[in-house]
Amino acid sequence: MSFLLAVALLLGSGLSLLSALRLRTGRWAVDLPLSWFAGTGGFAMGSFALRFLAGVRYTAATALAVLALPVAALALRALLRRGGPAPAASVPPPGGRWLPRPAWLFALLAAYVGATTAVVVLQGVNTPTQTDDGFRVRAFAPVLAFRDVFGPEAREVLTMAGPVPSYVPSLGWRLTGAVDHFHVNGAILVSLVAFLALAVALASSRGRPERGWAAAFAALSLPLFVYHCTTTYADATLALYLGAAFFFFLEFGLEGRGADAERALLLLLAAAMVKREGELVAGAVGLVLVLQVAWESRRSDRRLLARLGLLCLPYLLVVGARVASVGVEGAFPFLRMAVHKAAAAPPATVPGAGPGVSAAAALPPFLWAVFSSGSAGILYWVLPVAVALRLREIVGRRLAWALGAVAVLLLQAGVTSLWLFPEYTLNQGTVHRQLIPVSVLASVWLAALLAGEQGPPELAALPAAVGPAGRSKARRAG
Amino acid sequence: MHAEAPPHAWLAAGRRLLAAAAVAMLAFAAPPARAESPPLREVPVQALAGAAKSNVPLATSSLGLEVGVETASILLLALQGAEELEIEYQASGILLLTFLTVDASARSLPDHRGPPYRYVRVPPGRGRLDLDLLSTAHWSRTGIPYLLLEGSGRFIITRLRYRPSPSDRASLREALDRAVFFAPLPIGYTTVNILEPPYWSYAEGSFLYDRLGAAFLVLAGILALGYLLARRRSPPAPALALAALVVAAPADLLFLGKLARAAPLSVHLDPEARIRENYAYAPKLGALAALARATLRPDDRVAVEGHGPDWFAPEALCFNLAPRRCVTIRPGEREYVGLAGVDRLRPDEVDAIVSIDADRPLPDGFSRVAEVSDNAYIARRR
Repeated sequence: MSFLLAVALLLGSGLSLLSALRLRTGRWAVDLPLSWFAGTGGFAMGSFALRFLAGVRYTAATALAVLALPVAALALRALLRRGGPAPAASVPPPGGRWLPRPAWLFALLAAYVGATTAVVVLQGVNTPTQTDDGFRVRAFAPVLAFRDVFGPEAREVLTMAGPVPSYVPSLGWRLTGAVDHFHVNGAILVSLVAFLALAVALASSRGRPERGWAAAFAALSLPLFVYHCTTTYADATLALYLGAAFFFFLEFGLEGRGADAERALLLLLAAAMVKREGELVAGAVGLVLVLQVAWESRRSDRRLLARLGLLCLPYLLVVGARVASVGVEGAFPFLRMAVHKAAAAPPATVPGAGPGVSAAAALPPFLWAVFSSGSAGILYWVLPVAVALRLREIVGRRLAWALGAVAVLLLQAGVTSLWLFPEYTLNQGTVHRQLIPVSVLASVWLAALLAGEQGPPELAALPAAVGPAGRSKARRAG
Repeated sequence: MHAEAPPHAWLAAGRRLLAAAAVAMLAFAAPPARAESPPLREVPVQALAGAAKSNVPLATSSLGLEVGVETASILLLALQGAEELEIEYQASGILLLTFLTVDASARSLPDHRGPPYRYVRVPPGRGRLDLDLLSTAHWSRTGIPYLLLEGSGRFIITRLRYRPSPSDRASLREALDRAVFFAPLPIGYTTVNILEPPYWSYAEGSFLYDRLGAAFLVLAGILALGYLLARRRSPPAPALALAALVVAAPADLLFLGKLARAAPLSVHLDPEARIRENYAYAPKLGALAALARATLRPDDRVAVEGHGPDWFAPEALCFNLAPRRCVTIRPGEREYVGLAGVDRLRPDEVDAIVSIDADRPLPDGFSRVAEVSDNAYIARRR
């Protein structure tokens, strides 16, 4: 029960946050799953910053206060507006279409999505934590957040896990005082369901339900990702938060609504708080998004760019709290590793890898992991072919920026697997897990390319100012 | 620009795809076929003792061959080349049976704590186990079945039948490929790092996704050529989507089937029951963890110990006992350390001990308060 209470509170807080930032879409089917990602991100950010920057203990009262912050902001905004001009009513965007075509084909996809989700949820909810990293870090961090007693080792664990996987599962425990370890599993599974619901609802609300169902199917065609959703590791969580952000990134590219870019960035900030790697991968995607916005607004209104900048500001609280928690060196471990690696390459000591592993030696196992191992299904066979054969469409439908983000993530995974940690590629230790977020984004992108061509008749019928031809105007309107 | 496909685009693409698929099919072999298997053969219960080696004393009775299990009991059956075992049994206690095959002439046994994980929980009472040895690691025609019983209890084989491997090489290859192809997803210690790679042909060492990837390339190539010859630039997106779907869907269904067969799909609303019942590859540990959670007070300071250098049981116990302070006993050390070095306790600060398969007796000053078995118990300071 405490888990359901926590989910309800996080959804409510998320909805308030979206309203306060004026980022609700006007469609409940979209706003609810979106509010899960926004609410958990906001709650984790607030709790983490409050604990390590302000030194305020994590209690039921402070947890509720953090959850209520967006509500207070919303109330304050309403108070300030009193007497002023009435805000424009939230109007759902035109073009909703909920049944994909051809129905028989997408009924099969939906059946697969439903069956796989059911198996994953049942297995995830049933399986206790049973892996080393889960015991010591991923599922242990929420316990440390709940205990709220931090020696150096506990701070290190919390930093490794990240604020979202640490604070979100612990909310129910904090409110009731009883620890049920399966909340860690539950938080991942709710994220999965929210991700799938967002995929379908968002695409449907924009008149392309085919794209949504295809994205859900494509993501669930990644075997290792599917399996990870049943564990208490955080790789699937990172992929789900990134994937949710990527839906809006793609929508911004396709339709040019500024609010979508803001939603994407908001969720990327949440993704940055999952694992230590979260900041790197979410930062890379965020950078491409900002570059796209900057490029497209180079000769026009730059207000969207400014809004994105403002949206990023609160994240400084997370960085500050992390530095306060584990110091500057501990706060940026990958930077430290890269500097050390560039300065002098120490011999690898991982069993089975042998000393002095080179990138060249790690390349064949890396390629095996990508193409043959089955961790990502046939994704990496289809992706290059689709890119090669649909190049004009990629540019025409403005999918190139999002593809750039996928490419940057793949490059990042390659650099890490071949240069930073080739030994763990050689022994297949981490390379597959590292590819999970890249694969989820790539599958979502591929679905947008291959199943998004059938445009909504509603959009085509609209005046040029809001139809595809008038994107720049629509973008300014947000 | 945003090209809107006509409503019949998917159907048209589907027709072309079907033609392409027919051509592509010629390039690939059919999936693993069912091979003709020899019938099961009975091993008389009296002959069982002679056909088995073990690290524990074996006893024969009118019921059958009895194996006592305290921590881990190994049973090597001299049934060279057996591809399947059908064991009727009578069991008590909490038992996990891991099965694989080993080379009869090998000097060391394989690491059963590595992939592919083939294990089954043995329900207490009377029952039957069907063990598919072909899907295990290291299977060969010269190999013999290796059964590892872990936990605590008693296992009596009341009837044993086995299926010898087919005599001709082609049938054997087909049987091996089929067994590995359809085996449940093995879940173990390293599955989070890498799933068992799906093989197209285990005997040949060819991987499923290499085949599927190549099939997609052929399909896409035929489509591209077809559209090019029809003076269109490239196949439309629906055609490529359908090609990907045709290739991916069977593999997706295969994976879902394998996952569902490996997954605990029963619904336990009580989290304690989930801990007790669902430690798939460590059932005794799950039972002890659940018992310890029910027995210990929330403010108890706990020390755990396992068998020798085993990391899994101490970590799992401390995790399940959190948020209690919990450490692992390291004899001779002044301070014991817990998960990730977070908790630290001196020996005299410990209120309770949770022990599983430990090699040492209980320290002075502690007495047992609850137990799952003789060597899996909870003790409290007197």
